[in-house]
Amino acid sequence: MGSGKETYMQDGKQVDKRTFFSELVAQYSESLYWKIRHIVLSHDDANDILQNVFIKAWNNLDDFQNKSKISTWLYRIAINESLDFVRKHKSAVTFETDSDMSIANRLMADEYFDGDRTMALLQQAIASLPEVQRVVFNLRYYDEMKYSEMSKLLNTTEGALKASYHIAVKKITEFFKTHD
Amino acid sequence: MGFEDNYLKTKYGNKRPFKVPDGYFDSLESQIMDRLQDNEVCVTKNMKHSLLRTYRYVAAAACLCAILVGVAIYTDKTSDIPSKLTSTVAYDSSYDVIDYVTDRGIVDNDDIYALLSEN
Repeated sequence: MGSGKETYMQDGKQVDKRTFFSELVAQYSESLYWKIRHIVLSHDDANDILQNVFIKAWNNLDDFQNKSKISTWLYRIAINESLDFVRKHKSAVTFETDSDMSIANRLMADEYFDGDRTMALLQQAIASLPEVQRVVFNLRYYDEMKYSEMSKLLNTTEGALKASYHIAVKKITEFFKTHD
Repeated sequence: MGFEDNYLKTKYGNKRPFKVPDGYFDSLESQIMDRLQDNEVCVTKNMKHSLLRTYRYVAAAACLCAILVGVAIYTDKTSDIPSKLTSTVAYDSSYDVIDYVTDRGIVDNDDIYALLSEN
């Protein structure tokens, strides 16, 4: 842990940690939020996780060794925190085949869900995917992230990511064909 | 493989079906920065004083324990004296000091009269 007196380069100038971090928050908070929200679905949960992501990033900023872009580092923390949350609350977010589509029903009752029943079912189908496919699907389908960038973020080959996305799309398509 | 999601995008679109409270992102930066504390906490200069204070407390506690143990041992030794002198008397917790003195230390008037009559 540093003494707190370290300086950071920002736009060619040396700035203190707080100034540097404030700029990171301003620049990345919204995109981080949406990546988190797509995984955890609830606004309150996404807000909590986002705050935790920035606290972790603040605490470990001195250890960030520029091995990747800082955005990649932040996104990776966000995805890991989101998946940890989902694992801990597994019963709340996984698809329950015998249930009455509980995720879809919950979303329909959520004031911060801005879609119809079909959209809610789509989110339920995405939530039922295995972790990797779920993350890849969200990043590709909603964020339209390039596979090259996704590969660095998830530390997986582009080929494996394309295969994951292909399988995820197929599963969701099948899901809707059986539920239409 | 590049257009495999065309069916889904055509039928369902890829617009995010989520919304946030009004003004959420506007206040987010200040909310997060307010939560962050500087990690540096200057404990070094207080550490020595607190350690010395701790040592003193431990030493005091050790002395107190030693005194208590000593008193306990001493008390235990002195409580053995009645049982040595009256080895034929079985120890009875209800057998208090007055009973002992009465049995062994005090001669009552009848005994005196008996003694006097023998002479």
